[in-house]
Amino acid sequence: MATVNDAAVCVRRSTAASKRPVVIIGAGIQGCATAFFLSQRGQPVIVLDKDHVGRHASGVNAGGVRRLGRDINEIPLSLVAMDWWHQIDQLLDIEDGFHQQFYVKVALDDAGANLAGNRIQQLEKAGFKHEKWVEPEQLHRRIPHLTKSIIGGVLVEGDGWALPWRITRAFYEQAVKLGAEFRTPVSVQSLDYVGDHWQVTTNVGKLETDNVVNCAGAWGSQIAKMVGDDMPVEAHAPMLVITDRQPLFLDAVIGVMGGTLSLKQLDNGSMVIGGGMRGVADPDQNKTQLTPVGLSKFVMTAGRVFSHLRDVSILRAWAGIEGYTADNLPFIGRGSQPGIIHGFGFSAHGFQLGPGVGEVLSDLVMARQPRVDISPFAPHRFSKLS
Amino acid sequence: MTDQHFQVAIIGAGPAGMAAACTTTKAGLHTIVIDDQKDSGGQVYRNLKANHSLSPTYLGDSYYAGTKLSNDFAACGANYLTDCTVWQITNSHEIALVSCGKAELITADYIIIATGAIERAMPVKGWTLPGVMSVGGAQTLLKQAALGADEAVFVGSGPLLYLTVWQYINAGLSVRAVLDTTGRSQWLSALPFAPLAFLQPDMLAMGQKWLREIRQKVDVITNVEGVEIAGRSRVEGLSYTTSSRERIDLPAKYVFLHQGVIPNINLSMATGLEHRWDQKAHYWTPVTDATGKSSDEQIYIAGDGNGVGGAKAAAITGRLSASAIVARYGKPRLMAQLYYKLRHLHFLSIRPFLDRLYLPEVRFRIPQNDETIICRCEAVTKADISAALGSGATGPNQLKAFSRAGMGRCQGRTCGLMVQEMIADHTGQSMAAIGYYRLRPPVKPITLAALASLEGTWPQ
Repeated sequence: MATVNDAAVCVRRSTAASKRPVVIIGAGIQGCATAFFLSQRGQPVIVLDKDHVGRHASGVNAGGVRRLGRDINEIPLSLVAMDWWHQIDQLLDIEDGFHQQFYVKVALDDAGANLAGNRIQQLEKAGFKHEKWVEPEQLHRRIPHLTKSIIGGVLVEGDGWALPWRITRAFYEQAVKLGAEFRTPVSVQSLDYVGDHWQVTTNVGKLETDNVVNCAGAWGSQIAKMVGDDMPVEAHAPMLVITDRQPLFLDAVIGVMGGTLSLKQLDNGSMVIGGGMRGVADPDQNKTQLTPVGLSKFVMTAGRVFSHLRDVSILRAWAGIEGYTADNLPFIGRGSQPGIIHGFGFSAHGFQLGPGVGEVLSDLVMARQPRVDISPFAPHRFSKLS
Repeated sequence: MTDQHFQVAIIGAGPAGMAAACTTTKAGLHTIVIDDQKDSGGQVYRNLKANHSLSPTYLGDSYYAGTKLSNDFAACGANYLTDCTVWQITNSHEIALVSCGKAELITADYIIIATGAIERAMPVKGWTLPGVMSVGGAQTLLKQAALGADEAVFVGSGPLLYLTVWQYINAGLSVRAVLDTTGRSQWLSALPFAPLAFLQPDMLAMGQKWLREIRQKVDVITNVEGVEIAGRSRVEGLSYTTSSRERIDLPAKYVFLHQGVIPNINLSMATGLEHRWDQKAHYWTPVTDATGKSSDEQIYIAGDGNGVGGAKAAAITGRLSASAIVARYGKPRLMAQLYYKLRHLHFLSIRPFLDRLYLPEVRFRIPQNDETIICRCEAVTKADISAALGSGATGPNQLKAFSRAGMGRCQGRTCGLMVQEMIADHTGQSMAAIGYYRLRPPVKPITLAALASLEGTWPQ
C-alpha cells in the first residue's frame, strides 16, 4: 500500500481532468472532502446543496472516528481514512481536530464476550490485527468509572472522536481556499446527458459538466434515479442526546458488544450519547421525529456501562437524516452512464470514512485507480441480483 | 398513575389551564392537568392558598382575584399531576412526562398547551452579574417564600414591573428607585390606542393607583437611557442617562430588570406546531384559530402562550379552547362560546395600547456593548455573535454551531430573540424570514435515569 505522503505528493502534481468544473451534489462530509481533494489536485469544482454545508447527518452525527467494529469489506477504506485523520490538523489547518483516544466495545455478558471472540478470530483470518480483546481488570484500570460487572471488551488504540460540524466545515473552508465554489441552497431538478456532457438543471439555472459526483446522502437515490441508476437507500434518523457538563472522567469512546451505544465526553464536560437507535425521518420535509422509547433504550444501555451518571441531565436530543443501504455498506463507484460517480448511503458510519472517500471519489473523477478495493461498494450490487 | 389515556390533557395549571379543566370536567370529559409546580396558579396566582394567611395582604386584589378560579379548579375533579415535567409531545399525541423521577407516556384525544409566558430578556451591560435578577424572579420570591431585598433598583418597563414595586412597598420593603425606560416615541405610538384601553377602566384605574402610591415613596425616573450595571464579582451600582442628558451613578446591591413578557413557545415549537412572528407585539406566537386550535387539529393553545393577554384573558381562552373541545364531542355550547369570545375581545382591548407602550426599543433588546453576554449558559458575548455572523453563519441554527449560543442548559430560552435580532440587524432580513431556533425535546432537562425509566430501572 502506498503511504499517505506518497499519495499527497503525487496528487499535487496532477492536473485537471476536465476544464468544465466537476459538479458535486451534496455538501456533507463526503461532498466537502471530495471537493477538497479535487481542488488540491487542480480540478475546478462546483458543489451544490439543497440546504447548506453540513446541514444533515454530516453536521450532527456522533462524531465517532473509529476503525472498531467495521464490516470487513470496509476496513481497508477505513484504514486509508485513518491515515488522513492522523494528519487532519495539517491537512485542514485546524487545531486538535481529531481527539485520538481509544475506542472500546465492552462485553456486558457472555453473549457479548462470545461476539467479541468470534469477531477477533474473523478479523485475524482476514489479516487485520487492530481490534484486540482486553481483560476487565485492564479496562477498569484505564476507565475507573466503568461498571464492575463488565467482563471485558474489544479495543482499538488510537480511535477517538471529532466534532462533525467542525470537520465538515473545515473541509469546506479549505476547499474554498483552493478554489472550489459552493452554491447553496440550490437543488438539482434534473440531470441530462446532452451530446458529450451533462446538463445539470437546478432551481436557479443550468450548469454544464463532464462529471457529476453524487454525495447526496439520504437523498442520493433521488439523484441516482435522474441518471437511470436504481440505488435504493432508506432514510432514517439516528438519535443522539447531549448532557449537561460533568467533571472530566472519560478519555475514550465507549460502545457495547451487540448493543446500541456510543458514549464520549467532550472537552467541555458534556457527554454525547448515541448508538444508532432510530427516530422517524421525513427527508421531503427535512424533519425528524424523536421516539421517547428509542431514546430511553440507549440511555439505559449507557446506565449499564456507567451507573454513576444517574442524575446527569439531558439538555437536548436530536437526530440527523441519513441514508441506509440494504447491507449497510455505502455506494461508491461509477454509475451506469459515463461521467457519473456515486458516493452515498453510508448508513450512519460514514463520518470517519470521509477523508478516504474524498480521496477515492476524486481518484474516480481523475480516472485514477483508487488505492483500496471499492468493489464491495458497487453501485449496482443490488440491481444485479434481481 | 393507573390511567394512560385521557380525553383531554391540559399542560399547565395557570389561569388558562385551570379554567379549561373546570370546563372540560363539567362537561364530563376525562381530564388530566399536568403542571411542573407544586401548586396550581401558574406564575400569576402562585402560592395563593398559603398567601391567604398573609397580614397585611400586600400582594393586592389582582392577585387574590385568582381565588375563585383556584378553588373551582381544586374541586373540579380533574386528575392533577404536580411537580411533573412534560418533555415531549409526539406526532401521535403521546405526552412524555417525568413525575417523581419516573418517565411515562400518556395519550389524549385532545391536548391543551397552557404554558404561559416568560419574561423578555433585558441585556443591558452587566445583566448577568450576581445581584441582578428579573422582576418576575423577584416577584416569585415574594409570593413563594415571602423573600425580598431592601433598597433594590427596579429598571425597565411594563405592568409587571409596577405591580411588583407596588407589592414591594406594600410589604414594607424599601425601594431605592424605579428607572423607567419607556421612551417618548413609545408613548406617541401608544396614544392612539388609549381610547380602546378605556374599555377596561378598572385596569387603568388599578395602574393609576399603583403609580400614585409608588410615587409617594419611591423616586420614579422616566425616559431613562443607557443603563449600565457595574460591579466586579457582583452588583455594586448602576449608571444611566436622564432625559436631560445627565449621567447619573447610583450605588445598588440588587437590580431587578423587566421589559415585558412573551409567549412561552418552547413546548409548542418543539412539538412542530406552526408559529408566526407577531410584528406589533414583537414575539413568536402559535398559529391558531379563534378557539386556540393549532396547526395540529388535536392540539389547542390557551392563555399567554398563545399571545400575551394577561390573567383574565388567559382564563377566558382556556374556557374557549375547552368548550371547543367539548363541542367536538357533540356537545356544542354556542352561547357560551360566543360569550367567551366577547369577553376575550373585551380583555384584549387594552393590549394594543400596552403592547405599543411597552415594546422596548431595539437598544434595549440587543446589547449595546461588545463584551455584554447574550447567551449566559455558554458565555457567548455580542462580539462572539458578530464574529460568527461575519464568518458566514446565516441563521439562528447555523449560528449555534458557529458560536454555541443557545446550546447550553436553557437551550436558547433566554437568548433566542436576542440572537435573532442580531441576525436581523446584520442581514437586514425580517424576523419572520430569519426564524427561530429549531427546538427539540426534552423541552426541559431530564436526567438520564428518568429517561431510562421508560424502559426499566437504572442499574445500581
